[in-house]
Amino acid sequence: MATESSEGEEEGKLTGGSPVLSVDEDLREMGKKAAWSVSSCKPGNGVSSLRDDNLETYWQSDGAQPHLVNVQFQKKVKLQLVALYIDFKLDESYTPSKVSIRAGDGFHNLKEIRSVELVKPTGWVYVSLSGNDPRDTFVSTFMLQIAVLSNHLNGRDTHVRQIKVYGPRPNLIPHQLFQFTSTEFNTYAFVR
Amino acid sequence: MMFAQDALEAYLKLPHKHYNTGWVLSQVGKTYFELVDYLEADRAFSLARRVSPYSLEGMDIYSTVLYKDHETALKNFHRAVYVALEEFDNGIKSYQSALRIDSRHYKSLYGLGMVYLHQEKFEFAEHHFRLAFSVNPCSSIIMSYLGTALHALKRSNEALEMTERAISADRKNPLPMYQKANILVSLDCFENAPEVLEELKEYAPRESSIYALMGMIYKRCNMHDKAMLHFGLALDLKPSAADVATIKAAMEKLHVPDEIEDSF
Repeated sequence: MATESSEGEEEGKLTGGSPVLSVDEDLREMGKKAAWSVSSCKPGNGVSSLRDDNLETYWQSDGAQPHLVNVQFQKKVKLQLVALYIDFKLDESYTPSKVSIRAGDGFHNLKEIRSVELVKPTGWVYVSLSGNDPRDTFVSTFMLQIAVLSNHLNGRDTHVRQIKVYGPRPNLIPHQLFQFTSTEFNTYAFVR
Repeated sequence: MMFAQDALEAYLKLPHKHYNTGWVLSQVGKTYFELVDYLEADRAFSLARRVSPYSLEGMDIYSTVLYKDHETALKNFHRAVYVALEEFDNGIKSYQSALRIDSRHYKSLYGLGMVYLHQEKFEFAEHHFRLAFSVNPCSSIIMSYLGTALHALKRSNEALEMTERAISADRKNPLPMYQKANILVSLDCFENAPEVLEELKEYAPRESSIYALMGMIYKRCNMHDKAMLHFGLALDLKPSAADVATIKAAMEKLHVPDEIEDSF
């Protein structure tokens, strides 16, 4: 799991950060199917900077805390992991320290599902949305909200450089309940 | 190459002197490839290379066969399929440009069928699988997916019929058997489905989905002990995280009547 590879995670505290984004092969990025918006931004540092695959650019909020990133899907999706690129070395007091992740059908009924404390990370930090029970591996939701509650050194506005959200890959073979595990079955699964 | 079995028989009747030429051996390799027999294909191609090492005939296909680690090859191939299916529009475009060059390119017709199946445009899927099937009426895999599309369109009898044809077209292909069980379950034929799956178990004892589906059937029939046993076996065979969640949820709700139809 990607969550285990990020260094020093204990009781919702995330330190370190990895320079390279590495995510389990079973997962796929779901953010491209969503509509993204932010509670506020400085001109030129808007929501698109969060999704441009460029670590040099960043979203900068321009308003009162909490600073919100809203990710809305057209239909209910399964989500398992959120990856954030945060850079304390460059962003200092703009670096988020407390982040809350909320899920719901829409703005009206968002509920916190995770909260994490970031301790001076530089790199990708991973927030798993899975519960301990395997049945709670995924969160099924229409909307995800990533809320920056506070920054390092009491900074007011925040910088986030990238956000990715991941869910399980769908079954390669449509209209079928379970995925195949054996070579015997997979050999015949597709015309080559 | 469409009537691969016939072709193979014809090649095998050739006198040794003719059979053991690079060209014929390459054709034999290609034929085995079409028949999804990658081991025999490998054998034929390697003989062909020994006889005429400078011939390029069939070497493109040989390179596909030549992934020695079959499982890794499958994994790589599946990854490519994912990309094709997730980028629907690009997938459709490349298949269509292939079809402009050769309107009988059945792999592209089949590819379009798969894309539409994923988009849940089942009529389109059926149409393209039918076209692919008319070009290549021997492919058990195409028949099987035509059956899948018909099943999705709730035309169960036609689906069952096509699935049976897929089974007889290639006895080694386990997928239509599995699909038959799926269709039977959706038709509430709980007596016959386990029989089909039992047979599959012998063929692919490490296939988690067989046990998972059996678990679902026994759960539906209120045979809780058998259901638990099969769910447990399914979990032992390392299904995907998504399937682990589904199976555990079913185990948890064993005594609660469920709507199995939802999942099919």
